[in-house]
Amino acid sequence: MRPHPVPSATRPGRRHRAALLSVAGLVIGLAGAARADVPVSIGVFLADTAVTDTALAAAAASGGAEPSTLAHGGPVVTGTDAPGGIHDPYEGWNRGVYGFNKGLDRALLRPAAMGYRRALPREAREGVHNVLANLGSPVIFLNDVLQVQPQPAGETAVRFAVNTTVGVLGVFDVASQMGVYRHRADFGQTLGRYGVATGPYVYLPVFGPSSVRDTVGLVVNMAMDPLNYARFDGDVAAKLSVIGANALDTRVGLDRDLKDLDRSATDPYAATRSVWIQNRRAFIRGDRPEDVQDLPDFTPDAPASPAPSPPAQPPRPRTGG
Amino acid sequence: MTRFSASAPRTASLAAAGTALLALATAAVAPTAVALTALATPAAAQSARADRDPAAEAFVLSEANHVLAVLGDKTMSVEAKKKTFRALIDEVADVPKITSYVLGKYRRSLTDAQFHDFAVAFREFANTVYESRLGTYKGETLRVTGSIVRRPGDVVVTSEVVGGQTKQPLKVLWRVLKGDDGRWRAVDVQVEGVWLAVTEQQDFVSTLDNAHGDINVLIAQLKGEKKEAVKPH
Repeated sequence: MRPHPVPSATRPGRRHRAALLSVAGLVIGLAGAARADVPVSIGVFLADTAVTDTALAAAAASGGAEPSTLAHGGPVVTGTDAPGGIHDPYEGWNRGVYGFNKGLDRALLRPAAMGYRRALPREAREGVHNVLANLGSPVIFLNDVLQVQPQPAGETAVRFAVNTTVGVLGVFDVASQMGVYRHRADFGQTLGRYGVATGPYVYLPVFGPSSVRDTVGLVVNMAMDPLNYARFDGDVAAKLSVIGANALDTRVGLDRDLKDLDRSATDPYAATRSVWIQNRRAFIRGDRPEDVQDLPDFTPDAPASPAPSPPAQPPRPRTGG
Repeated sequence: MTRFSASAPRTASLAAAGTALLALATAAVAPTAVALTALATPAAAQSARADRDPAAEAFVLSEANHVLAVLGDKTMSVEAKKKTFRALIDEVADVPKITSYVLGKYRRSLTDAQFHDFAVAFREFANTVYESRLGTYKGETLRVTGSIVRRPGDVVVTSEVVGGQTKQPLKVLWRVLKGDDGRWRAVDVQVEGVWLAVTEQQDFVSTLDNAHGDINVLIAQLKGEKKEAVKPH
């Protein structure tokens, strides 16, 4: 598996770099696949296929369709399965991968992240976090543009400009202090906003919870990252540092939510799946309100009650399999 | 995640320049109206009345303030807070409805005795989970921003949590139902798009699916006796 798209290697040295970056990509993915900014949480574990990255790689995304029908109001959101319901035809396999990732986390990622947390004071870690977030702005900007979201695109551009300069290469999140907050955007979200269906749930090795659509989005998202294309002295070391720092930063940020989820769920795999798909749908919905009619009934004798469907078996037909 | 604060006075003037830049950029790209329009036209509008319900909103605001006041009370010991919340829970939440709901399709197949056992275990479990989080409160406040009537007596109240550890306003939704006694109570809460009770149901139903519907397996897990009872396969 080579999830980290690196331009094709032409020289042995390049091939070596590509392999290195692939491995590193896996590690960051583990962290990036699950990301939380949730202070009030009951194990809210939000997965974000947007591995933090940069991009002005307009080239990578050139030719992105911008149908004129999207000119106002933005793309249409489709798919109204029961909240938390997602087709999981590969559950057996997915659970296996889930166990594998848990082992990897226990053996490698969490110990490293806890070491990082002990080694650096909070302020320094926040600076690192801000730099990484800033490096991710170009990819967010690009997806804002693809989604025909001028205001968010403007905000992302301003944030990048302000934080890179006034914020000293992104160390200080000055833009947030000005009230221009960070938002996320990724290519899986872009696909979703153009009406691409979620598809079956997929639990990816290292990357964690995803869907068929969002796996495609993940790959494209990484291809948009200009860091992947930059060539300079010591570029491999620099890229690996960014990837490693991303993994550590994300894992540290997630620690409490992951612990909460493991403690409060009787079946953490199922809980993660439910949380991921609900959060993902909300992310794709954006500011559009949820259709409250899709919510389950709590009163058994309520009229027209669509009985709460079991998880993983929404009524949506699937193709193949 | 918290921000890294920059304090140099130089920063302030530069930040002002940045603000001007931002104004320029947003003016150039214009349509703030898009977001507003989206908010003003809920998808539910066709299928149900999209009116607000002031009573439901008032309920959420007053209960939230009540809870936050207890959380923020520095004179109260943690033990006292726990006691207060245990007494408060039935005023805030419709525990029987939630208890039935989280069992999903398995609710109907339970005997009264089994349901009772589950209800006891579930309540204790929920208390434990929430109590473990009492210490995480850092002065956040809540403001109600609106509501959507799903059907009479069934309302989603929208709110924002600000301050404390929240770097930017955090949207929180409350599903509140009016009971037979005419009082409102919450049955679900949504943070970051994730409904708590919905997630709980899918978690519990999956556990029961893997245990061939044996409620005792779920009860044992809630009591923390065998976290490993459900093996992935």
